[in-house]
Amino acid sequence: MTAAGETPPTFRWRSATYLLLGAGVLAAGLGVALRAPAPLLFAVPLLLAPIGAALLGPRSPPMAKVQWSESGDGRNVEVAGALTFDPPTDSRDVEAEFSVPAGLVARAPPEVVRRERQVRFRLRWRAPEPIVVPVTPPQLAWRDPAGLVERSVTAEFPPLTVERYPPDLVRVGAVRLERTIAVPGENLSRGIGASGEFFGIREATPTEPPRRINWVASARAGRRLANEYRVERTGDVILLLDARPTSLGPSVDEPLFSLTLAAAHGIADSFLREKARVGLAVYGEFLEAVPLASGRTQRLRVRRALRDARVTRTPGPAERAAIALRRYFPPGVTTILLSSLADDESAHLVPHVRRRGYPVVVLSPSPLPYLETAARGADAEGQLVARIARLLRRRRLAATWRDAPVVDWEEYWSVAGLVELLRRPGRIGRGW
Amino acid sequence: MTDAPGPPWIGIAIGPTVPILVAVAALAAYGTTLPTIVAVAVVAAGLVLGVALRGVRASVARAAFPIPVLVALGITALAAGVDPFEWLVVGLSGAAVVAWLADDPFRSPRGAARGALEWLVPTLGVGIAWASSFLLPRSTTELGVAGGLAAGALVVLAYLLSRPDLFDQDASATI
Repeated sequence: MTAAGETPPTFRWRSATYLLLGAGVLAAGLGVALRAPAPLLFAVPLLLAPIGAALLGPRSPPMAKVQWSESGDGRNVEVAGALTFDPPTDSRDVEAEFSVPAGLVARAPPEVVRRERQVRFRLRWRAPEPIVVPVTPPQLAWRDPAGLVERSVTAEFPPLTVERYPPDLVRVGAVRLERTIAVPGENLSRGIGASGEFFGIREATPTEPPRRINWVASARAGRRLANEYRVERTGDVILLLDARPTSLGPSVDEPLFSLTLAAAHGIADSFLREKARVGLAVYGEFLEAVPLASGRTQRLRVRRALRDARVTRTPGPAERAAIALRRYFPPGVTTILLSSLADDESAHLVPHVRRRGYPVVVLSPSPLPYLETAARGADAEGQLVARIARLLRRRRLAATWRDAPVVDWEEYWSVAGLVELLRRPGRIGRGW
Repeated sequence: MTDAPGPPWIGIAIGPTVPILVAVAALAAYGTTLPTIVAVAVVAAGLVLGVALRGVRASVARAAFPIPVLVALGITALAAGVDPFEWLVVGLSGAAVVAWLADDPFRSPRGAARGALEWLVPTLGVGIAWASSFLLPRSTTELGVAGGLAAGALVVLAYLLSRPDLFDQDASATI
């Protein structure tokens, strides 16, 4: 029942103990006062039972070894795991309380199977919308059969994250992006194919030409590895997340930003898989950036930054974001702005970023489904408000289109519009 | 062996210890100085309410399930007659409550047998207290009774000594 770093008491009396002790003391007191032996005898087991319970079970907090993994497909999420204990503890006395992470819905009650020294569990959830959320570790405690005493079970749960984003995002990495200079001052070779700059080593395909095989690396690794060249790589992309609060309030901002994070995860993963360079910028009050890079380390950097990203309380001015972007990223890099465009201030970010030299594509998670869900049970006035909100959004998107193409992301499980837009020929370097 | 799922239902709250509790409580009610009908009604009301609350999934109601049973048995204890065997039954009713606590319907398997130590020790305590109070040898006849009780206690002790797993289910602590 402990999280890492906390040191709560390892042994606790539960409420039933206090109930028994209270009843026992009362009965004993009445027995003495009335000089009646029956209440005294009635009190004896009530007073002795908690002591017996305390003697039962492990003398020190057992340590749980945890193995768990996440599976499932589409919207269905399934988390399965097993707990074993050191020192070996009767698993029938170990209680596990599971909680459903915010944004997920339970499909079925937790299934817990107890073997002699092992607890196996299976959790079935559903993701109504795209989401990236860490799984909350279950609360573990050893409890005596009568429920009188409780002892902490310490456990180190490996981090586990549920990632569900629109399946279209798997294809987005195949889009050819605008290539930019890797480092200011660097000149790229004009050579084509294998004469370009060395980029890295990858697994060789069965039909790889012998000249491409890196024989030294293959000999070291014991499998065929091939050289890869920079000119073969796709370009760079910046993901700019608008984390400023909007006029819709936290109840809508939070789920919209959760969608934004899920999309950013998916887009970054997809491009990094294709070895493109991906940069991340989260703009709340100030800009927090992960500079352009590729590879697995960059994937971890991006994930860490997305994990820590929150909607800020104070919004920063739009111009500040555009100025700060130039400190971290070279101009000309394709920039995917993820913003709800819920109010004029968030819409102002687009022209500022564009004028600083970044070709922008806006992926805008629509707040309308949330507003319409709220208005579904409302009266005619509430429904009228929802309709006006739809008209306002349409007008705002149309105004934003003057500066950059906008994908209205209203069907949350599909971003086909974004993939289509990025694939459109003649997009790169034309300033839209 | 999965955790007991399903809807709240009083049926799941009736475990193997409930008949024992009912039997001991009925004996205790029968021996009180109260009119039998009143004593039986009090005990029945307490038991039914306690068992019903135990079948409810709401945590607040479940936390209070022992109270009606303790109150009902407490009333029978206060109104117990002068018969020493009635006092022994009252004492055993307390031990039966503890055993019933271990018979949790929402845990699988129910732990009345697994938690035997929790109700065996109090039962032994009741037996010793009762015997020391009323059966101390004052004559040769009572000496035989006391000897029998001592022999019984030795048998129980020998059983507990032969089953160290009852006390030491895990590796012993090193501190």
